[in-house]
Amino acid sequence: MAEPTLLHYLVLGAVLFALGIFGLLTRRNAIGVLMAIELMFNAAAINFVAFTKFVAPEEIAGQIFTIFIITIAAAEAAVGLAIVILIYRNFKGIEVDNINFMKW
Amino acid sequence: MVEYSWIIPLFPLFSFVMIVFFLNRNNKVSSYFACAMILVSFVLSLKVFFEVLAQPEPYMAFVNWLVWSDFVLPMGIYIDPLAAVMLIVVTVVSSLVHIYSIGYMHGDPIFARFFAYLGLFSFSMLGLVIAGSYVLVLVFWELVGFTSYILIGFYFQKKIAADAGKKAFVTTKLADLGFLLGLVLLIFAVGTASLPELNEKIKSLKVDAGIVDESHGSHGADTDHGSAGIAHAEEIYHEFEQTPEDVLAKSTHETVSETPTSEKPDHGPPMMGHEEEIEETRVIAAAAETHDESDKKEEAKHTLLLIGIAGILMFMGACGKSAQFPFHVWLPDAMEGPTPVSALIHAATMVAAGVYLTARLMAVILVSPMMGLVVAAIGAITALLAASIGLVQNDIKRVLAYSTVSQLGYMIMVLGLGGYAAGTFHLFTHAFFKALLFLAAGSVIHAVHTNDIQNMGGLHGKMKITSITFLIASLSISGIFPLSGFWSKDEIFAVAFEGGHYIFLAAAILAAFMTAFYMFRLYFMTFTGKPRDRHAYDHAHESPYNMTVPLMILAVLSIFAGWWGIPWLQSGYASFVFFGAPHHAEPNLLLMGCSLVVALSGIGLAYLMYYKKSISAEEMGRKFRGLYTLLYNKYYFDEFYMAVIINPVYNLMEKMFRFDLAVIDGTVDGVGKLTLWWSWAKERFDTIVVDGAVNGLGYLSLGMGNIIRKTQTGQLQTYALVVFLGAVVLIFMKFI
Amino acid sequence: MNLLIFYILAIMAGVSALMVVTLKNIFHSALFLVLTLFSIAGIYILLGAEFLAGVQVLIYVGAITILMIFAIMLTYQISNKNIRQVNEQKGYATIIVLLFFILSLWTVLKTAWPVSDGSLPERNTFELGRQLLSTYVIPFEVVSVVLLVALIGAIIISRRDSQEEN
Repeated sequence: MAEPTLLHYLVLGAVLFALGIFGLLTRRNAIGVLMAIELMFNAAAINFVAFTKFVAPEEIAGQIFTIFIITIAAAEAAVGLAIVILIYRNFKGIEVDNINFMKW
Repeated sequence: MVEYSWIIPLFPLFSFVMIVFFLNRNNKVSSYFACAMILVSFVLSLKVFFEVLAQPEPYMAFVNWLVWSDFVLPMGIYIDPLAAVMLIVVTVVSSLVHIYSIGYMHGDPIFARFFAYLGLFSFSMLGLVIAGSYVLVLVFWELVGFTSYILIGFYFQKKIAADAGKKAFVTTKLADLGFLLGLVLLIFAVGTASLPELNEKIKSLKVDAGIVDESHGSHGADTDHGSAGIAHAEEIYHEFEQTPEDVLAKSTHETVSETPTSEKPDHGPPMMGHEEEIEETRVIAAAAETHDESDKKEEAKHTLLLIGIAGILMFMGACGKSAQFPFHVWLPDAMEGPTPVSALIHAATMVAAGVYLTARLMAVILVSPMMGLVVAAIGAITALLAASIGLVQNDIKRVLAYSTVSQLGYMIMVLGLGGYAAGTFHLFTHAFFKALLFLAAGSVIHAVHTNDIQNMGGLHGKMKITSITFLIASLSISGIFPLSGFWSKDEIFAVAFEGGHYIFLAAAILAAFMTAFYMFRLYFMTFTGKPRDRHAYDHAHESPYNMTVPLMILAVLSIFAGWWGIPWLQSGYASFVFFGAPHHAEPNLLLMGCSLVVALSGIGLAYLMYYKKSISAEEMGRKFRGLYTLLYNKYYFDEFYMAVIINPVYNLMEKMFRFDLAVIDGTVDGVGKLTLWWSWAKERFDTIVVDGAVNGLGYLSLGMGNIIRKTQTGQLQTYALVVFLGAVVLIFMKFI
Repeated sequence: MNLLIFYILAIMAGVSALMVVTLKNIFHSALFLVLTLFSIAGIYILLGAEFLAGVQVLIYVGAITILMIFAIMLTYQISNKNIRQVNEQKGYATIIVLLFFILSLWTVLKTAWPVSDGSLPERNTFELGRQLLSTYVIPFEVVSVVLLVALIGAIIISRRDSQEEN
């Protein structure tokens, strides 16, 4: 047991993911929500890479996918932050609580 | 023409219809047309009269109008000499009244209507006279009553005239109740309503009952001899109550000793007072006697009794129309109608209908001494009553009205005594001179514009024709030789005398005295002496030709019409109009002289009191204050009726009205209120429950919406929370 | 040995992640995110994905986190200090997260992973590049389009309209 097994990595991924969900559901600052989402991305990426190593090492599909994850995360972060800037411009604050116009 | 005599009444009816529907606007044309129509009827009546004169057998034509299983009601005409005479009387008087009315009603705006009604009345009266069955008589009877109501109340804008019309109608209607009951009873007892059949039936019933009269005519025919009515009123009445055996026993004692061998010979000739006749009767009765026939006799006697009662009831109807006691109260009030109406209706025609009916019931009178007694008594009472009231009246028309009632009483009385020819002959002559009197009175009223004789006087100088004709009529009605009234009155006295009915004779003589007195009182106060009212006198003038010519015609008739009944004539009135067999009695000169004396004394007393003024009327009035008041107030009959009959009815009416108001209107209002309350309740229910439910649904939706919309927070994180919750649940469920 | 490193790195990542999602000061959160990302890069190295670790640091830490810090600074309000950073949902969120975590753990532990005996390719970067341009060339191109679109989109979204200025 000198090596961490698949399970270790998966558990770590689960923990990070759970924390990401928590942040998503509770953060009031919009950027905080985005950061939580980044956490979730990373947790998923860990899972992918762990699976590459332990389940299918010859075809490094997981790692490829992780590259894609990171790329998409970047794009998403860019667009998301642009939106946040816009919100800030309009509402003078970025608490997601206050952005509740699609309601009753 | 006799076969077509049914069209005679149709001419005045046609006049009525034409005036009402077409000619109403044009007064002149209406009046001429009406006169033309009634004159046509007169001409045709003349033709019928001459035909019947030549051929006196009665003509009858019937149609079976109502047919039940065993009962047939025929309708048709029956023209016998009496009907022919009546036709003449009605058409003559009606034509003269029509012509007179053109002058009298001149200037009245509703002139045409008057002629229409006259036409309708003439139609009704003519129909009544030729009717062949009592039911048809009843129909025309009622029509006559109705038209007389309209005519009496012609000036209906005046309350007093309208009331008079009502009074006439109601009083006669009450009497007609008797007529109807009598008619029904008659039909029930005899099974037929037609005149000739009824007379036949009574004849056969009399045979069955063993009642046979004098053998003057064969087949047990009745005669109109005075004794055919009642021998001695009380005796016969008692006789009728006895059983046949008793009567037989009595008569057996009195007369013949031979006894028939039958068990129960019926002996009930209530008409007989002479011994020979009883013997003949008994012989005939004995010959026809068997055991079975005695039952038939019983039945026949029973039926005859019923017929007698029916006759009295029908006579009650006649009393109403002819204003006999106690139904006489309407006639004086009926003077509110125009004078031509009084002349036509209350002198000559309508009141004659009662006499005509009584004459038609002669068969019943002859067979029922009870009825005869009732009829004669009422006639006599009425004659005296009315004459006494007429003595003190001051309204010219009222005196004439009471005179009419009194004369009708004469006719009824003599009919009750069995004097068919005498009664109808007096009817014939009375029509003419009474009509003349009324028309002349109308002429006077037209001239001086007042009815009160106390305001008249000395009009002879101004209205010669009227005065002279009035004088002629007064002489006639008083019974002065040789005017027509003398002959007819004399006939009446003769009947009463020969029948031995001395009480009635005395009543008749007294009434004759009073008649002469009040008629001449009227004449002297109106036409002679100094004018009491200068103003009225100055305005007086003789009436125009169309009013005086009828007066003159009637005066001629008043003189000569009665000559038809002169007793020395071989084929006089009594050989034309008779019941059973014609009667030729010896004229009784003593009686004639007696009646003349009575009349002259009446005239003489009036002369002394009102012309010479040697006996003061005012003195007499003061001396007999009580009697005078009683007579002047008409024996308080009206007040009595008012208190006893009319006021209780009014009270009942009042009570019923109040009941109606309280209960019925209360009920109706109550229903209305209930409906209102019900609708209010429903409205409340609708508002609260129904609207509540509907609105409640709305509120429910709103409420739930209010609750549910809170889920749409608009916050992303809430949605994310729910998504993850859902994911958790799904995963959880996957792994259970 | 690896296990120990793994544990150190894992704990560092976990704690940092916790800090990221709970700190009041958003700036501090961002910094802790950096630390988390570094830790994860270390985990990649443990997993034999050296290139990925480099990419992670370069892109994630170097670009994305910097971008976030820029955004934070652009939208920073003085009053931020007093505003609560965690919303009122934290109760429910905790429960759900815990449930989720337990379920995932249970799933992970219960599944029989088909662990293979193979080994990773010798030259990681070489193999990645070769695979990217042969087997996964289409996603590769698509991703580049996505990046382009994101670029344009971000510019357009956050561009100041000339009318808005007025």
